[in-house]
Amino acid sequence: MINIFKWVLCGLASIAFGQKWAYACSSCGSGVVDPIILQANESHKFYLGTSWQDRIRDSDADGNLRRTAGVHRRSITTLSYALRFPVDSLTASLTVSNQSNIDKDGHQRTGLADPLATIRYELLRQSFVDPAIPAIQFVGSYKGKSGKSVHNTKHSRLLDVFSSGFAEVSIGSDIWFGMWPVKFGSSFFFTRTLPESKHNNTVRPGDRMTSILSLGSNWREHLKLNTGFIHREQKSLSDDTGQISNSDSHTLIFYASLESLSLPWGQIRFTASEEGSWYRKNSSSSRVLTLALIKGISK
Amino acid sequence: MKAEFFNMLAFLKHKAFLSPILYCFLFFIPQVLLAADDSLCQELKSSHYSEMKKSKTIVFFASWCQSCMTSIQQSNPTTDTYIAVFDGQKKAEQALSHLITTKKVRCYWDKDHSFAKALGVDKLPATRKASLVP
Repeated sequence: MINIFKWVLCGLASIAFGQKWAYACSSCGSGVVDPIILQANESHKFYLGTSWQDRIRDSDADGNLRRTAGVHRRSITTLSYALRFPVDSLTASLTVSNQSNIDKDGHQRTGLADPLATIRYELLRQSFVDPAIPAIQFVGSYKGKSGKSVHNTKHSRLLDVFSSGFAEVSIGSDIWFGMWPVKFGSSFFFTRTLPESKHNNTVRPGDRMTSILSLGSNWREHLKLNTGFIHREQKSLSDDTGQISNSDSHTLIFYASLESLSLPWGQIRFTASEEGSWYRKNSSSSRVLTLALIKGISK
Repeated sequence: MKAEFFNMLAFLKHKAFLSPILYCFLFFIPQVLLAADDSLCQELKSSHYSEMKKSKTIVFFASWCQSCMTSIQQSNPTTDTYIAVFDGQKKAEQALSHLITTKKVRCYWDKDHSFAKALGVDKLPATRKASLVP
């Protein structure tokens, strides 16, 4: 039973670790499942971001935080490339990350994190003729599993864990009202984690719903500020014996990002986020700071 | 010979398949041609460049570009040329007519973005001096 409990915690924590990028609405050039989104005039886009994750704490089923025995800090370098298909409303992106896990004594291990492939279909593009009609996109993504996860780690402090250990398929929609001085939008994603056989036991974390509310504004056409909340709710983990009780997880993330616009060589985006500080269950709490360089190539 | 021709015409006149063809010639094709002439932003061709050079500023815009609203509102429809780019023709026309009520506007649709590229425009909003037109 203790073993199962350990699995639940590790599994849920690893799922939380699997989402380090994120933040912001779709039509403003970044997404929740993928870090870049093509603007209407772009045919290709590149993203290079570096993130620092610290203040990592684990939370139990009652939301109580405790100092983690594993990874103390993380640094993640993310590279993403997006392209537009000949069908103008269809875009795709591929994201890979290199992650360094550091424990409290400063020991470090580096490895590749789970790759992510995303496809977006733009159903409606906004026009300033009618600002009340939002931009609507449908999103589908696949996150593969690479490297070691908590299920086959050989390191007591999980320093060699770079993967969630499960492949994931997500679908969702993104709505954005971006033609008013104060812009706002919301996104909803449904994620199904594919079952995996671990130690002769088939394990599958429950389905996850991610809801995002975002608010943004441009400042003098040069700076863009975005802020919002991301809520993740994951159903209970199940294995061959059935659902593991009280293993569902919740996390609320607050984020704020500042992005430069119209620089000749690209855009710079700085994002700060607080994960699980106000509301969490069976998840983790941390602070993430991300600095990214984004370059779009025009059609 | 003449009688045969009239007989053939009389035969065709009573055939149902003639009506769609007649419709195309008498109504549909002229309508399409007229519509092309009536469009607010004609498809840009190199033959339009000399006309554009007469203007003061080239204003690039798209219906999805919120900041383009400001550059259109600050422009002068009597002296400037508008280039719709990275956008559909009809959407761009709607957007321009939403902001400019003047009937005679010099506007072109840069379908393949080649004109924008030639003037170094890769993002919006953008304006260029008309003297830069090749």
